[in-house]
Amino acid sequence: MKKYFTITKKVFRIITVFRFNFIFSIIGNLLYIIILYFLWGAIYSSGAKKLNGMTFNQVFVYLSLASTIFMLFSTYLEWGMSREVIEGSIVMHFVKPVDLQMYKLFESLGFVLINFVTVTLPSILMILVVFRPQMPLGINLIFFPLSLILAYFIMFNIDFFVGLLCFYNESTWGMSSAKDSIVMLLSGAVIPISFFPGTLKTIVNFLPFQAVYNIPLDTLVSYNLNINDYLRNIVLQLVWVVILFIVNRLFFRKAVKVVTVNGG
Amino acid sequence: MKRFRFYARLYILMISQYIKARMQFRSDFYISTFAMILLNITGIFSYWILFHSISSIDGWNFNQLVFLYSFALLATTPQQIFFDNLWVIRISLRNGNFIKYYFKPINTLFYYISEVFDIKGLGQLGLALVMLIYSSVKLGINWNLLNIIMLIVFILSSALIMISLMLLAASISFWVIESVSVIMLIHKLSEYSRYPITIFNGVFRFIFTGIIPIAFIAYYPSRYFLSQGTFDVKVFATPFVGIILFMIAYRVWTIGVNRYSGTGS
Repeated sequence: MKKYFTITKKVFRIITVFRFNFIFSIIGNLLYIIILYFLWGAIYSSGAKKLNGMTFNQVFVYLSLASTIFMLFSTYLEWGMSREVIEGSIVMHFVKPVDLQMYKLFESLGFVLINFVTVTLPSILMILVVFRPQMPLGINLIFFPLSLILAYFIMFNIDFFVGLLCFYNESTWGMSSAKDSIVMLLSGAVIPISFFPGTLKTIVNFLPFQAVYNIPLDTLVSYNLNINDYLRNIVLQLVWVVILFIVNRLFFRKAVKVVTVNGG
Repeated sequence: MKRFRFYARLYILMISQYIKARMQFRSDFYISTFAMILLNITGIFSYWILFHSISSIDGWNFNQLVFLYSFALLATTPQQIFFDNLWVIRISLRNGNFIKYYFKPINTLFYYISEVFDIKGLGQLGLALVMLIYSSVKLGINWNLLNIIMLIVFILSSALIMISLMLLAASISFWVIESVSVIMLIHKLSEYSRYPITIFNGVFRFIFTGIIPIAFIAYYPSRYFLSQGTFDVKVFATPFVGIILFMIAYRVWTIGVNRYSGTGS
């Protein structure tokens, strides 16, 4: 375990060089939150107190945190993997006594930690101070962080899956942005899941994406959930973590055979 | 005129070489075009979901918002297709490759941008046109000759605004090498030009009209077509905003180019 944490520390050191980028990432996120504030303000201005069971306040917290979580989970994992395949340096992982999936998990953990300190914390503070949103204060505050950690493991596996797909072609931009579009929309990060029309909502509930954003965010903002719902959601997330982890294991064994590195 | 012909011929030569090289990676072309279209369908799709619960946003109905969206998409397409190389300027500045753009007797900006032609942007162009036609048919916009001319004029001016903003953001790389986040910020900002500017309060309306004029990318020009007869005079400021902004951006770029001194190797 210790060797893996060394990887995490390594990333932490590299990234602190690029401070300028973090300032602009925070500004970018805040700007998006401001846009959300006005856009949903206009949507709710027609007089409705609640749309699909959500107040303006709930939607605002839900979506602004979704964007902040997106920044938190931005580890550019598939970009790194694709570059390693194109450069051929991926073979260096195969000759070392470390497991690639675990290596990548701890590497991306480094990115997540640095994102948390540099982007997520300032963003959350700004949301709380500037907009003073209301949310239920209770047992959900314990389940939210737990749910968020599981959401990260699901997101990591989705990223890793796309990273493995990059073994087969060199279209990193294409794969990565297709993934982002699909995940963001079907997870509720752009429009809360409760706004989805009936059939679509049913389909989305059978997909892993809503476990990344909708479950933790719903846990945080919804007044209608009780402890059984929280526990059921956590179990659902755990199931997705296990399924995706196994799928990636099997996929990796297949994908590793197509890697060709010329010379060196 | 002779000079223009020279540049046009040069551009075609350089781009055809680039496309030949890219076509070695044919799957990349298909996947990124698909992703490009998916990216924008997602945007429209979220409006579609939203309009299950509401009937209008700030007085704009679904088709009007689609029109606004497609206008913004169309206006950003030239920047996407012709100026895509600006995204990676930091890489050539850092490794010193940028110095090669000084060694040919042609315009540095022209030389730099003519190295990349973003093929996947054509997917965006196609989608934007389909959406524009769909929404204008639904809205019953009368495409007479005057309106078509105005559409072309407005698209070109909005495109110039978009190009200028990206050029300004990319020029920052001459002073701060790791500035990709500034380009990302401007790119994100340009996406907000898809929303009616009237949803914002006075402060942001002022910023988006006067300081970072994203309101001129889609909102004001669309008003010309959506509210025939009763639009704001600001609509006609669009071409001037585009030209002035481009002059500023080009000036900043030139200062940056003159300032860069290579990496010494």
